Amino acid sequence: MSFLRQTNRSLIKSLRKVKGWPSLVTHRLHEKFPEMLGHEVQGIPVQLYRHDQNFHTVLSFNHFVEFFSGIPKLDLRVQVEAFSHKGRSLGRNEIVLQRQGALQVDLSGLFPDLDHFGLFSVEMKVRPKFIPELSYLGTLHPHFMTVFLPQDKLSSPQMIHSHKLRQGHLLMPRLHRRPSSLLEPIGDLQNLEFYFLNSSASLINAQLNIFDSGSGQQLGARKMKIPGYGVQQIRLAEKDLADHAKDTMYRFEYLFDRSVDHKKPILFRQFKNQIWSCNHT
Amino acid sequence: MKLFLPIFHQLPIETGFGLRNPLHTRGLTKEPQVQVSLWKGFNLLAEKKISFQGKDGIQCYLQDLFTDTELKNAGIASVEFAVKDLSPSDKANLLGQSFEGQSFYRDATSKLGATILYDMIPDKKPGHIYSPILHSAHSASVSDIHDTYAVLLNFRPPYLETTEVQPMKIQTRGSNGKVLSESQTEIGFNESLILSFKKEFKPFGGFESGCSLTFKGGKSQFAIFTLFRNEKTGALGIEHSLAPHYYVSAVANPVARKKFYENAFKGFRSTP
Repeated sequence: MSFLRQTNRSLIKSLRKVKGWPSLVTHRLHEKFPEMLGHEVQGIPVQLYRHDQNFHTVLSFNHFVEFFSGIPKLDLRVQVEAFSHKGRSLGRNEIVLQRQGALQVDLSGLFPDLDHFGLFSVEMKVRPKFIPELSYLGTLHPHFMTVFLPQDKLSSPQMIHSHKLRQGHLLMPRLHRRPSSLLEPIGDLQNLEFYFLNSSASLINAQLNIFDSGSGQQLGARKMKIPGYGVQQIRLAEKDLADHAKDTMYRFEYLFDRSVDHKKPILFRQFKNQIWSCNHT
Repeated sequence: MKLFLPIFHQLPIETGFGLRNPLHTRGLTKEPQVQVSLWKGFNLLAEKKISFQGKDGIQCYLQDLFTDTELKNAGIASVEFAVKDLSPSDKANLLGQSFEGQSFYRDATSKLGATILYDMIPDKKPGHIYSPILHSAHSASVSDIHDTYAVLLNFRPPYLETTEVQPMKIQTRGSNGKVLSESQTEIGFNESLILSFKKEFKPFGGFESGCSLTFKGGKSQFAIFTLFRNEKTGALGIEHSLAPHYYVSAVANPVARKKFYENAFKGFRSTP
């Protein structure tokens, strides 16, 4: 038994040294069994949704494959899965994207029981019958944009792209420190809301560190636990911001105890005139 | 590596940038200055150098650096680290790594707005041959108070100067994917094209969910953004856009690349 365990560990270690081995295995399987597995579409990107008093969420798709293929009835099958902020699956729904250019879908139309905020994932499939004409394109990756529609009449829609992927396997403990390049002038801010997405099935311990970009001094820290496929909201309200001079510029750093793929929390800022904007960090 | 900023002449929007100090983030021995340049065509209209002054990061608007006249005449701005006074090892360290830059956009009156982070773009080498681009602007939100703008910023450095401008074909497409109109324009080198969805779809009964704009051509380097604006308050939202070929691997395969470009650019000369 011990010998087998040792062999398995050595095998996994060797595979890890080959960059991107899981995708290579998947690629070979798709090549071997095209009728069963369809055209290879790699990765299941994730993103934040909001369904609260401030924002609702719309997914914007385009039939990007149509630019490279003349097949008239080529449809893309898109499976969306949504989770509560605690990581509970709210179900899966399929959208069929015809050769129609663009399609915008209100997430709450697909999932009537959406949480106030949470994570969703997007999987794309191409039917096996299109493989002969599409094989030259190689691997495809799902594409969509997430539009946050404001519920007030003051703000503007906000948009975020996605290429961070859902991780179906459990992650081994490994400390990861990610400094963000974002600089946040706090002068006219009323609120800062961070949304930490856990794109993996493992429970993640994370920490937000806040620094003054002028002096380099650490101004604060917030610790959190994020359940698998869950989202944690961290809010810095006006009273937190009031502790610092108006010309302070924040910078941020994130610590994760596992190498979760999504290491760029989404930040929503609200100015004192109630207007919101957002970006990934 | 450069960060490109559009200059909005038709809209009351000011642009700025933020950069982290590579002395602190990348272990340089000396902090570089930041060089901000205004361009129109292949002419450098104005240039300013600013320093971090030991701070961890700087944030600045073009209006803080240049006069109204200079900005009025400019097409775009570029932001980069000035490497001239750095040691060879610092220079190699700085140029050999990727950096995220931050661009800021704010309403000229309220001075409030939005920001995005994206990778600074490496300089092309002398003799570089550009391929035409393909962009699908499919994420728009238009209402009585909101409009969406497709922003295409064309950058080409002076050492790649050319008189050849490849036209940009623009298609408006309805919610069923049908092409409603097709036009052709030229986006000047080191200038931006800013198209309002509300205006583009007005002749066809107005914008509805699923309408999109497609851009093909323009033999140059483009930074592409989608800008949302509340027309009553000036509130903004912005995101950079990724071309359809970002999502297929054929473009990296020399054998498939030719067929890929033929399919994507029917009627346009391709340069795979």
